[in-house]
Amino acid sequence: MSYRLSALSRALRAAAARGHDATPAPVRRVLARPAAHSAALLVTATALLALWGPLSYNGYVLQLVCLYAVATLGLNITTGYAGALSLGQGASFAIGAYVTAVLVVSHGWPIWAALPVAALAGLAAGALAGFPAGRLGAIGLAMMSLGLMLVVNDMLIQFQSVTGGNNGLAGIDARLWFGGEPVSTPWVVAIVIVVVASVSYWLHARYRTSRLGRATVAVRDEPIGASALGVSGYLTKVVAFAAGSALGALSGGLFSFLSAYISPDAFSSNLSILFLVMVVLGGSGSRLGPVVGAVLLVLIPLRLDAYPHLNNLLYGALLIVLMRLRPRGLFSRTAAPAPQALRDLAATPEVEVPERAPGEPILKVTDLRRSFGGVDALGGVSMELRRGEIVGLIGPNGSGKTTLLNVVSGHYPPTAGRITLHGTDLGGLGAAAVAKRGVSRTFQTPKTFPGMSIEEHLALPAVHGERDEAMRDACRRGALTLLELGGLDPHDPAAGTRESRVMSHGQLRFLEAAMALGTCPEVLLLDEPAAGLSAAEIEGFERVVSDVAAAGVAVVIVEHHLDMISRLVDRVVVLDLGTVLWEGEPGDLHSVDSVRAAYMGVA
Amino acid sequence: MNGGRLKVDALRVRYGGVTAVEDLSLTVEPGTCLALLGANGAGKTSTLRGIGGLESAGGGIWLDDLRLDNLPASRRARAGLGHVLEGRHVFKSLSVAENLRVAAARAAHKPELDPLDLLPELRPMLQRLAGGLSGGQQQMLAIARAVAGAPRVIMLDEPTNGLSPKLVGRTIEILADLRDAGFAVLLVEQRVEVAQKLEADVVVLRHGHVAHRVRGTDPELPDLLQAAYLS
Amino acid sequence: MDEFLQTVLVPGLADGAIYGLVAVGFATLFTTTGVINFAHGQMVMLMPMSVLVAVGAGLPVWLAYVAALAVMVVVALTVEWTAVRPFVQSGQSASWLLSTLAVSVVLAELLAVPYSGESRNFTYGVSKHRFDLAGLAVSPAELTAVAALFVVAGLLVVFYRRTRIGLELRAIADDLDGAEAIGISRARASQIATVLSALVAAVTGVLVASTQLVTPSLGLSYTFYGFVATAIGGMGSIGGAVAGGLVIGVVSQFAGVHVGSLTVNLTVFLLLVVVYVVRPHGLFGAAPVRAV
Repeated sequence: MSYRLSALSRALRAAAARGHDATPAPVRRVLARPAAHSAALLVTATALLALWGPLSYNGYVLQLVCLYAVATLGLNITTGYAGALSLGQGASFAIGAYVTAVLVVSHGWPIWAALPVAALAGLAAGALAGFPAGRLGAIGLAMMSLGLMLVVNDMLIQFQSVTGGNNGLAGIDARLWFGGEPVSTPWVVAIVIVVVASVSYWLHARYRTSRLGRATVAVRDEPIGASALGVSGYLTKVVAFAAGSALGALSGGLFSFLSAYISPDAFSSNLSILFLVMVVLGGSGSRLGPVVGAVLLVLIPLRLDAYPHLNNLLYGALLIVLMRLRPRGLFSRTAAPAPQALRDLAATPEVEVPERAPGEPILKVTDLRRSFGGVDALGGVSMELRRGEIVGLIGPNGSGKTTLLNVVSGHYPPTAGRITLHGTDLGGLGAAAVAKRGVSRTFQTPKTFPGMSIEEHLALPAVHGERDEAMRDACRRGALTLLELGGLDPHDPAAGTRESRVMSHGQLRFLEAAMALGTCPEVLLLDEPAAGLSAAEIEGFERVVSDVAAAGVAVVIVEHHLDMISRLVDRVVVLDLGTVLWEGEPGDLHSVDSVRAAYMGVA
Repeated sequence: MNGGRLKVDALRVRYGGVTAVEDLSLTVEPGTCLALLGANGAGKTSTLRGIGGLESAGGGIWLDDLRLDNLPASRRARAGLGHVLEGRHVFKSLSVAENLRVAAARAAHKPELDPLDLLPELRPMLQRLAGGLSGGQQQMLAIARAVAGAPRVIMLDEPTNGLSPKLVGRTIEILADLRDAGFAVLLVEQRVEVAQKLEADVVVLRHGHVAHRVRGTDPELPDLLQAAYLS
Repeated sequence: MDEFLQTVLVPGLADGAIYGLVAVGFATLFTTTGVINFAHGQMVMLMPMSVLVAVGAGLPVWLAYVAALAVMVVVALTVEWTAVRPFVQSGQSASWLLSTLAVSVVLAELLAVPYSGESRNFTYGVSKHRFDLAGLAVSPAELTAVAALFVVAGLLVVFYRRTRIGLELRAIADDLDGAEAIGISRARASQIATVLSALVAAVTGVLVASTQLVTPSLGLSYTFYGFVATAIGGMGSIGGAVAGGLVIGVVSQFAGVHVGSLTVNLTVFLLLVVVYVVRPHGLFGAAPVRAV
């Protein structure tokens, strides 16, 4: 089963690639735009509608698919982009449906005014739920959204005077003006549904390619790595919740108009799960997947209507099988285009590399301590780092090197001591705030974003604060060289589509370092950058580090390759058991007995 | 008789696309100690995890005549492969006594060497929670726990890491006791000193390959090692 | 005051005991496997439903209970194999969340098959006829629920502290690698924890059915209530589950009596929001150490 699926998807992908190659580049660029997909959706749906007529059975199904797609696209923002598994999309749908119904039935609002208000209500509900929910892990979020759904169902019955209780609301007709007569043609509702669906698709795709959308996906894939680039997670989740819920409510509003009668029965908990299965089946986080999920899961169940129970059993079984065999859904590609970043990078001029000359001290660490459950990982470390200087930080395993980097970069708060950058205190700031002040870093295991393309990775880092032109160019040039070293040619069209989940460890290392340089940092912290690299790659890496240091970036490098340390750094700091054991020129390292003893156990 | 012979043939360990260990063969006889030395990232820990079954690995692994490589980690342990993991991995919310008890309960037979005879310093802290012990004490507990499981081969991953010089000395004593009690001891270390004092056979790893095989008593070992570190 | 005791405290504690039992069931599975079973509420409903079906098929009541327990164990092992084991201590919460949710959908639908989803009266449990106890009208079912909560929680605590298997489950929960390195099988531990959790669900189910009608569609609500109890008490803590369950039982009963029966879910939901805002790791849980 899994073999056949993958063979099929391979064949499809090969066919797509052939088609891709045969299309001229300008046409390809137009076809890749969300607006093109959106227009295609609109034209196809309108044509089918014209063919079948909005009142026919097929026409009704088409409208149902379109409006469900809107809710599914919204849920894809919350669950796919932000990674927040929500069981509450049914609640947003119900809120939108009832707000619309009440405005239309009780107050005679026109369709063009009722639907935006429904979306706003969904937005507000989503934001309200998102503020506490954005701080939660996946489990808390899922449970909270489940609770929200139960509550909304109760409220529909509770506020009987407004919602009609169990009897529901009837006579939800489209009007063109406040208090006007209901329009007699079904075309108004049909056209509105189709147009809203295609506009929703465009909005949802634009969301993904926007700066916010990119940050959202980065936080989903690797929150720690995102924070090291100055991207903080909380707001991206709240906004995704609100936006997803707004589309869910809009979809509910359309549902009200399509069915003209609603009651609480239509909004059971299974509806939320259905939306979730649509997203997961289509491909959570991909742009086209949710639409396909909605189409499949409206059409298939209609064929099974004759057999009771079978539909829900099918959803459940499908989800179980999916999680085992194809957990990322039918459309598993989630990368989105971000060509500007690559173009900018590729256009960086050659730079003149000045002589390396460490300048004034910029980062100062004073008596820094950090303990974990009573064990001192750092027992009072003091050191200074000068502009343009490269310091090698070495020591045996568990000596506190990585902890020192983590405390300086804001990933762990210090237990005691001070960290200052240009005299301002960094202690107690979060990782994203520290990154924004010009401290960038890499990790022992590269923290990259598996669902993003190479170009998207490079579009993530932003330069905060003032940097002189030469330093900026040197950083860019360095990033470019790193990419080339990793075989990630920015001129290769694959850079726009290749996701980092399929890249090798070494490539991820270069990509991560290129991102760190993308922020044009004042201080660059590198945690074992050479691990797993070949001799030639290490040499190239060294040259880049040396060049950016010459341009003024201060570098701390944790490394076990002592030869690399001795070639590259101006100064070595040896840590042992959380304190500075020795500090001096790399050339003197091998002659110091205490260092040999601590580091290699050579007596 | 405590010991058994561990034989590893053409071990290969990969993570994702990266090869951590390639074509590594070694044999540890009962009553002897073999030390794997090398810089960080040379593949030492991956070797032990591959042998222990915590990482999927290719190649053949035998404990005496029993083939281990197609068994899950828990079955290998019950067959007599003791493994003191890097980072200790004691059960923090269990007491010291419970840590030992849970290991003994899974053992194939009663251990011939009582872990508390080997490590009498644990006796006064039997009722304390393992999570409240110092790093050195946790290391001792990790060794005792492996012994409680009645192993025939004991693998230890950087047992001296992060310990004070005094405790490093004590650890070397314990390792010597284990070897002399007849266990086959496979040791991963960063400190040459340990291998030297134990007079172990040494395999120096570099980038996942065997760089040298020497005796721990070989006077050239520190230089060989320094060369391997500096690659 | 008497009125409060009679209308809020007695039924509140009885309901709370059931929510506490659901939370204990969560904790049993979660501590060992790191998985929260969204289908646990359905497992609770599965027990009385199986008894009803078995009795309906003509079995004597005692045999119906045996058959129902067998069903619980078989279903638990199937759930374990499909939705728990692949994700034991993996940290991939989205995967097990969706898997167990899927199981929940399937079970809910299967539960709706025998009596077309209608509520049924269950007369094979503990009597719900109230009698006078020190001036309060209480039913044996209510008393049994509260007693069962403490007995089950107590037995589990003893099991984890005193038995070899209990110790092994705690070892797995503490450190998966360390446990495998001393010969504890993760697959077996995951199976044992799932079956244990299903047995807790079986007790819960009989008590639910003894105090109210068997309604298949309530499974997800019980999952939610049990989770809120877990959130209040702290993830994985059995004592916390007991306390959390009793708290939401009494608070929701109070809201139901004094505000309106449809505000019960709302009250429990608000309780969850408050707990998350004030103390995200529960009243008894410890904040996890952040790892880079």
